[in-house]
Amino acid sequence: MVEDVEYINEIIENHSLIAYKVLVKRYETRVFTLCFKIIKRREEAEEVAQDIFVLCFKKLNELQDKRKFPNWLMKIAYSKAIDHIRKKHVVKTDIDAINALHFKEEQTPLKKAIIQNRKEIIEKAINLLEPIEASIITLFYIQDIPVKDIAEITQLSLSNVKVKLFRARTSLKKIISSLLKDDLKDFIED
Amino acid sequence: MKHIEQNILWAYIIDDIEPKNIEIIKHHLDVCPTCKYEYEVQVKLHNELYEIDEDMPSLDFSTSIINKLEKNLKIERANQFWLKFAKTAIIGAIVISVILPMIVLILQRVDFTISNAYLHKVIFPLSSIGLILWAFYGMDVFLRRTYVK
Repeated sequence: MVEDVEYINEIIENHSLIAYKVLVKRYETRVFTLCFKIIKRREEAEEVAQDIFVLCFKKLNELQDKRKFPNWLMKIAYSKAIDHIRKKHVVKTDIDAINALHFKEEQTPLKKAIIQNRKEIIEKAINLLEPIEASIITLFYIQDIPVKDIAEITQLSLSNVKVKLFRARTSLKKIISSLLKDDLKDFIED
Repeated sequence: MKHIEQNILWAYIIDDIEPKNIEIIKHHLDVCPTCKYEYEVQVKLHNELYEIDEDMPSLDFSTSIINKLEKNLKIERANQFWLKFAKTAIIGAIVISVILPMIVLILQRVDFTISNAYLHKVIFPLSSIGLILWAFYGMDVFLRRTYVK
């Protein structure tokens, strides 16, 4: 597989959109996932993610260490997505809140069905997290990025990332408990 | 019995704990059902989180980005053209309005008579053209910055 650096050089030298499309394809899922987990609205997240890629194309010649392109891209994605929700004052989605209530009201038969789909429950729980907590959970678990790199992306200290990660997991646990209307007993039983 | 704190349990799960504490925690988990239960919950959550898939953007995501970039590049190129054109036009107008009177003066000394009215008809229009072009260019840049994003 051709390295990112080669594509980046091609983009800087020739403004090659073909080369940039390859990089976009390579990182679109990663950037979109982070934006979606922070913004929590698909259309808005997609628009912000597109703007991030447009901005990165313009700023690519400012990137000093080309091997660090993924972290640089994610750093821009994180700050733009956080800026977006701060500007727009996006609150947690009503649909999620309604779903949460819906889950609480349901009784045992449906609960069993829900337990079969733990992924769905966890995804809903992540959607109910605060944007920064959701982003750190996304970077650490879904995108498998080490804590050190998360600190670089979020511009938080290493210890702060660890603390936020711990808090996010604790919040997740509480949300899942409330979604299941139980103390996670069903969640751990296969 | 004192239970293990949640943050220490998390650190134990993600292997971010001092080696000397590992054995203590292992032993405690063997004898304390409350902490054992909490540990199992957290391990389950930890493992399940790794199973969550990334969200996929729409199919035309990358194409939309490239289209936006193409549009931006076109505008940039157009701006560059107008910048060059305006610069050339302004310099040209200045040069002509300076050189022409000099030529006229030289011609007047060698006893060529050219009326002042004719002089004004040549110099003022040329200077005005330069100014008008500059104003058009300025307006073009202003409108692009204001309305084209």
